[in-house]
Amino acid sequence: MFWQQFTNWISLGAMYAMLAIGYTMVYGIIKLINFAHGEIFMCGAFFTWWFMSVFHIPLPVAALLGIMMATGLGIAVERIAYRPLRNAPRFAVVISVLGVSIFLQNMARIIWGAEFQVFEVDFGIPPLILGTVIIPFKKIFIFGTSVICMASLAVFVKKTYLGKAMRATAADWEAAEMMGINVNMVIVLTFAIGSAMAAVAGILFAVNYNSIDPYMGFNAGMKAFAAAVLGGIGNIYGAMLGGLFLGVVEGVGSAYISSMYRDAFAFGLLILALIFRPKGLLGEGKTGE
Amino acid sequence: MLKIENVTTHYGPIRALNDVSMTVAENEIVCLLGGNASGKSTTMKTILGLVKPTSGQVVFLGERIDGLPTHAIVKKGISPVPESRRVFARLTIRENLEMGAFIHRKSPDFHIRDEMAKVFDLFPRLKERVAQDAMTLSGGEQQMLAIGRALMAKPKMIIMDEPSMGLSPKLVGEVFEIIQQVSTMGIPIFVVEQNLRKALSIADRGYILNGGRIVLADTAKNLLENENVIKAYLGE
Ligand SMILES: Nc1ncnc2c1ncn2[C@@H]1O[C@H](COP(=O)(O)OP(=O)(O)OP(=O)(O)O)[C@@H](O)[C@H]1O
Ligand SMILES: [Mg+2]
Repeated sequence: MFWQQFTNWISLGAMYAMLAIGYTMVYGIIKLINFAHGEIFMCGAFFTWWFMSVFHIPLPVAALLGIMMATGLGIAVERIAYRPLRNAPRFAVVISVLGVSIFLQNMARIIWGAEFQVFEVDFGIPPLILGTVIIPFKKIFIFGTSVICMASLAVFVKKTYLGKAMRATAADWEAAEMMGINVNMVIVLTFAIGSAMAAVAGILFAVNYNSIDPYMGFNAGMKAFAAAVLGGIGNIYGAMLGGLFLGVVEGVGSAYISSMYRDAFAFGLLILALIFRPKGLLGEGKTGE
Repeated sequence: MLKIENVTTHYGPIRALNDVSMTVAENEIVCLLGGNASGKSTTMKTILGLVKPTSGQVVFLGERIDGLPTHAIVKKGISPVPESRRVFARLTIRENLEMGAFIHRKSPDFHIRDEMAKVFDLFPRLKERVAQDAMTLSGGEQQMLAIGRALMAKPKMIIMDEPSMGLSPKLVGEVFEIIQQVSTMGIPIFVVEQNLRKALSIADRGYILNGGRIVLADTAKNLLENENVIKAYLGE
């Protein structure tokens, strides 16, 4: 029973981790929280659902199109809500981004309706049976996809020229400009990667729960943000670890204490972390800046 | 090669540079001397486009560069060694040097290994530590890394802001020797300094800045012999 549930927890945690990465990467570079990030997650799922249900496009293609559109949307958020306010006071930027977030949520509600939409996916692959533990293929798919995405990101940041430029920009953007790095380009790249990851997470979320709604980004976004802070904001590996940890804590809490307090465990953990480890599990922006 | 013409720069209402003009020619070492808050770093930042001049112009290789973004100015061939080094603390030494060569990452005839080997010839101590994070280096070594990083760009000119800052006298001597060595590689150098005597001893020409104005300009030799230099520098 425990291992059965454990697969649930870590696949949920992996989705939080994917979403947390976007918060942490954007924070690492511009030192601001992207409050519209949860909406990108929601839009990724909705675009994909839309291609599948209206145009009858198979999931892999629909997902690819959905991710591309959500990425475009993420880049647009940077252009519209952040860039014109690069030198404005922080609270002005926060208000601008909150505005974008509310706008996107309401647009989704107007276009797709406020009620739940069914997100049906049938992989047609039998579950994996390990002794008494039965793991549905869906869970393996969710966890596997997340691991592949996060591992690719880790390699990108560690090994490629642009990945290193990203870390350099996060550490000292002015010095990065002095190396001939176009910091605006790096910021766009950061939003693009974060948004693509959020869209994947949104689609996986939809695959997991078989339903989507315009408010799904708010709750998941808050938790992923908690995961990012828990891991050490600005630190990519911290976001990954924080997400997985949060998934497990939430799962253990709802399984052994009460599922009514599901969300309370996540935020309780965040509060404890802020009190006892304010720089997060791995420290602020330590390895993955 | 580099011409600064009647440049005035403000930070909001504060005027940090007032009608500053100066030039750097090929194969020259030119130093800009001045006390604290005289506007030395502002001159550097204005050349690099980190602050925009309110009037006047900056011309590099016959082309106006004021108004261009910093990364575009660096691509034109001006490599900075910024004040207090600004090495990327959590990037390794190799990665820091790679960032120096960022502008060449797509050029097929640029061989990063060869360039890095040249930097290691100049700074053997960096070679031993390539895989370490830059933050583990001493102040002097970080200065070497900052100079090496600038060289990685194969610059047409290097501009340095107080390379001697915070270093022991022995290290200061080493840094100035390196500057001379870099100069013999055919790279003109514009160096901002507070260490008057040391800077003038390696420079061809010097400018003295006070309160955002150039108060003296002459060959380094003349400045070294001119007893008004200290007065000008101190603003008396
Ligand atoms: N970002 C800024 N905002 C407002 N004023 C500034 C800023 N940077 C510099 N100044 C002011 O401009 C003047 C010149 O500063 P600058 O940094 O160019 O001096 P400096 O000669 O490099 O001094 P130091 O020897 O301390 O490095 C100073 O009065 C300083 O207070
Ligand atoms: Mg200065």
